[in-house]
Amino acid sequence: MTRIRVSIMILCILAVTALWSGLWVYGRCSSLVRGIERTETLLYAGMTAEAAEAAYSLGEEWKEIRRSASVLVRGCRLYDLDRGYAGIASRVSGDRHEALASLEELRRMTALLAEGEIPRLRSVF
Amino acid sequence: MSVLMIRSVILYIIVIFAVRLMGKRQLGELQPSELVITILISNVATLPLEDPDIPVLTGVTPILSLVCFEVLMSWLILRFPWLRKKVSGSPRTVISGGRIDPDVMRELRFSVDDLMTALRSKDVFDPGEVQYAIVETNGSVSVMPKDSSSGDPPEVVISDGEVIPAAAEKCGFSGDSLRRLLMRFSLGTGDVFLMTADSSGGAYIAPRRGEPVIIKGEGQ
Repeated sequence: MTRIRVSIMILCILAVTALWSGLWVYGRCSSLVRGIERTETLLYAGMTAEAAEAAYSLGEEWKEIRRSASVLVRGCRLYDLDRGYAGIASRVSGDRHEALASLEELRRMTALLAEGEIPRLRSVF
Repeated sequence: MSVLMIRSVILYIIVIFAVRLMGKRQLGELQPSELVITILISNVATLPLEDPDIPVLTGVTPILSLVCFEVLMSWLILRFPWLRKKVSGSPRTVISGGRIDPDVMRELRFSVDDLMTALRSKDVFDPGEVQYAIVETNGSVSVMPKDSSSGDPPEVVISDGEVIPAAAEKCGFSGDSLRRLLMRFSLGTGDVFLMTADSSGGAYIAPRRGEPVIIKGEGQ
């Protein structure tokens, strides 16, 4: 009976950890996506300096998320985002079209990471 | 390198813990579900070892989940005999009274060579000397030589308080006669952990508490 109890306990811990990790990644990525959308809006409004500042904050936020995310998510899913968020502020300060394209790509990749951690039918299969 | 070594130690400890959690059953002959789990664990455990990109946590999660499911499954199998039959199958008699049953052999995809090898490993070289050869659910073959007993091998009539009607009927028990027999020893079916019987009237009754009862059959 001890084995059954230990197994149920482990399964409960794993289920809670999986749920928490999924919600954490999803929540943090959603926050990043909102930040990207804010930066895009600022860029469309021609407020390049404010957009660069917002992009810099995005880079910092990603660095903070990255530290914990590497424990929960496979490295290969983070490397592209690392490249995307590195120097995002300088890209936003440069050519507007290129900056918007970069932000668009970054938003898509971040949303993909978030979706991959939520057990939807599409993510499972 | 040092990271890989630390990861190896962590995974080693977790795999050892997982095998211990599965229990001693795992270390002996494997049931089908145990074989599947063992193969899966050995494969899953190598992934975080080979690829430092995979976090140890994501490598450990499937190992522990699989082992916990296996432990829960083995508990359910113990509780529900119908599930045991579905998951582990049931033993099949391939030789009865020296006669090989080709239909059962075909069904089990058991070749004559497989059968002869199994018999030889039991020091039996002539199938004609075999009273019964039974392929167990773990794939091993149990052999009863002709001279060891003239009757049928005992059948499990009650397992963990559950009467197995087909076996009871085979041993000549009706519902009433089985109840009457148990009543003689102040037992109900629910009080019996294991009861085996044979067609000669011999029986072995192991109650959940107390000493077992041995009933000699005709000619025993």
